[in-house]
Amino acid sequence: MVAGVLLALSTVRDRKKTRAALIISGKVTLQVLPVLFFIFVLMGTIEAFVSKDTIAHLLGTGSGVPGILLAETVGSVALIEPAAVFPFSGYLRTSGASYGAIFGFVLAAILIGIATLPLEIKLFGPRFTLFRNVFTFILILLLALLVGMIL
Amino acid sequence: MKSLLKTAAIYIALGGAIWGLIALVSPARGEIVSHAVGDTFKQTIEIIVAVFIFIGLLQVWVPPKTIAKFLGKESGWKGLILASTVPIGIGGSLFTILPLVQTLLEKGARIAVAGAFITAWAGKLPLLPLEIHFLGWKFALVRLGLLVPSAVIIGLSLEKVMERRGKP
Repeated sequence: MVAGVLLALSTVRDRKKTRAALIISGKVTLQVLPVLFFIFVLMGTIEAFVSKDTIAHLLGTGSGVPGILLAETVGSVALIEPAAVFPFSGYLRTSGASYGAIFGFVLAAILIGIATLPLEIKLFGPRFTLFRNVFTFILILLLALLVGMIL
Repeated sequence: MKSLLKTAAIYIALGGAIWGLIALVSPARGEIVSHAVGDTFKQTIEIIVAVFIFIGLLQVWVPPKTIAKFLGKESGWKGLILASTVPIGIGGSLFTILPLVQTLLEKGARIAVAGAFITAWAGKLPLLPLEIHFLGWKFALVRLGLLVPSAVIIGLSLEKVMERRGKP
């Protein structure tokens, strides 16, 4: 709804720009939708083979620091489109994962990437890359513990 | 464009293959997968379309390059605070953000600004509708609230360790 209103507004202001925007939207759709499909299949697969008890045990409120570390590690390694992070996290949440573990997973998935390491080293050098990723990992862990207490 | 289609095809094929394999080996489990895929799609398609439109409009009306230029000019605390907040509104993946931040550094921005920029970019405001739908507004609010100070901390500590090497 809101998107429709904004789109109409944008069309009134500038037709050319709106067309460019829609082309970008189309590209993003093409880029993200297949990944989402893949993630949804993966979610279904986990649901079919892993019981909710297992997820709750591994990532639930009782899992503490090891649970957060696991979530962070999976997030760092997973090649996941940011747009797919939230649907998957929602699934983990309904399966019994704690908010702390989910926080760790979301931020690690967005900010730490095995796949982007070569690019980051090339652009910024190994020292910057190492410290940025390590600092980020540690800070996410601490914040996830905090989130676990707040929510 | 071609590589885009190729990647799309790979993901669809991979997902389909897993789905098919499971359905073949165990029809009952295949059914669970079908339900998960169908239900999630139905629940999210509207939000996803809206988010995609947002992303397109944002890219055109507020191009990331303009934001970077704007941030590169500011220095001191003001620059750091801006770098810890403004990137929250930018979309994209690390693959597009890292080169952008590198040009920032080339134009003379502080390392702290670069570190804060990358961290704050994880705010992902364009995806907010998805986040609220799946995890609730409380989670989204807490996450965004914690991210801004985190960006400052990461930026400053990164600058500290990088500068230490520069001195003999």
